[in-house]
Amino acid sequence: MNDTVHLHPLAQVFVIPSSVSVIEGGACLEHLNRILSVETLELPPLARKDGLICNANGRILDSATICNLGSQVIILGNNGTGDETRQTIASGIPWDEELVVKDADTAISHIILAGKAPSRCLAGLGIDTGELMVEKWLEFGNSLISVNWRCANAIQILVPTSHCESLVSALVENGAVTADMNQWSRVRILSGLLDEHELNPLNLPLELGLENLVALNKGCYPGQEIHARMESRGALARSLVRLRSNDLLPEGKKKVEHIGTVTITDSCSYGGENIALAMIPNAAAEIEEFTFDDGSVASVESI
Amino acid sequence: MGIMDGDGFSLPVVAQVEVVDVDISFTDSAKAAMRAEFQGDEVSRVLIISAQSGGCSGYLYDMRIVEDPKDEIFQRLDVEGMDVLVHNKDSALLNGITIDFKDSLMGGGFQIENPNADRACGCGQSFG
Repeated sequence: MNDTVHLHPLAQVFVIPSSVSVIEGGACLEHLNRILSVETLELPPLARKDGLICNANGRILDSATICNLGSQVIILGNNGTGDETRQTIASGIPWDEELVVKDADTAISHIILAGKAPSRCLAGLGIDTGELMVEKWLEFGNSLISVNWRCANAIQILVPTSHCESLVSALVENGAVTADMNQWSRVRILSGLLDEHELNPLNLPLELGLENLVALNKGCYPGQEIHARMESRGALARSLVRLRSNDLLPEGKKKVEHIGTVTITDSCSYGGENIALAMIPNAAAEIEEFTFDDGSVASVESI
Repeated sequence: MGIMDGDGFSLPVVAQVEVVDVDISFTDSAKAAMRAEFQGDEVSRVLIISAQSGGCSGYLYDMRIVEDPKDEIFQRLDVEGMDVLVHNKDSALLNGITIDFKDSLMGGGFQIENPNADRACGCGQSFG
């Protein structure tokens, strides 16, 4: 879990653009198990599992946060990747399995409640916050609530879109404040919450520190050979870090002498400085500060 | 009302697949091994060759001898009196493959050479 001291003193409510897919049928967990980077075979009802969908080169196509509803499974993915993910799932359905894949992008909304005390807002709604955990979705009315695996102070909520506005209002009535995507960018950079800026085909899971989203003992899945080779050799080319600078940190590639190319995935302003997530050559990950070829200086923090 | 009871869900997503007239080659050793697997019942049983998600490279081969599903969605090949079926959805993935059989304790069994595959897994069961 990541440090949360920097988070807003009140819980902030973010409606996060995400792709949502549903797979229906008796063998939906078996089918997903063939595709995802994590084991999904033995998930109990309302279990949560965070994994990835990768290509044969081991690169990330989408994130896949699973909610098992029995004969239906909700797959929460990155913003903008839903169509491709649904085609990936639908095109490999075995001929003798009756599975249906549906687009739920507009049916289900994804809310994140993040801050120093998000549980207080939920308790005000009558939710037993002691029941909230990473491995499970808690049913509350027509919503599903769980804790983000990477940040305990980020609560994820799936809600029918038709009820999203009323739920946000209820959270605000119980002490939360609504926040925009600029503020979300700040929260996710400071908390190391990754999205499509990092979880995309430019990156490999182990470079992003996502070892726990890759199950090397589950058998084959697309990308497994690459992940296993990287893990066994233990030599990653790049790693994800947080940068801080008084200078602007625009997204994209920048050169650093003696270090190489630094790829900034997302950035924003915070507290009078600029912060960013960036992929840097692994050999430079222990360096505390470096100067880009354009003269701007950035300090490096591990995530 | 639960989370799945609201509005806005799409109709089932249809996989975008190309359907081609499938052609598969079998080596003599593959035919002999298939014949043995049919156990003398080439009338009511068929061999279904298919592709499904999975494996290191994206798709896994599957071969099963089953009761004839008698479904027009399968293409039917006659291999010396044995019926081999390929589902239309898998036809583009499997068209042109050659099936061999290696009688070996290590790495033996049916082997598939697939000209459509950009890559194949080391174990030979997966392609993409």
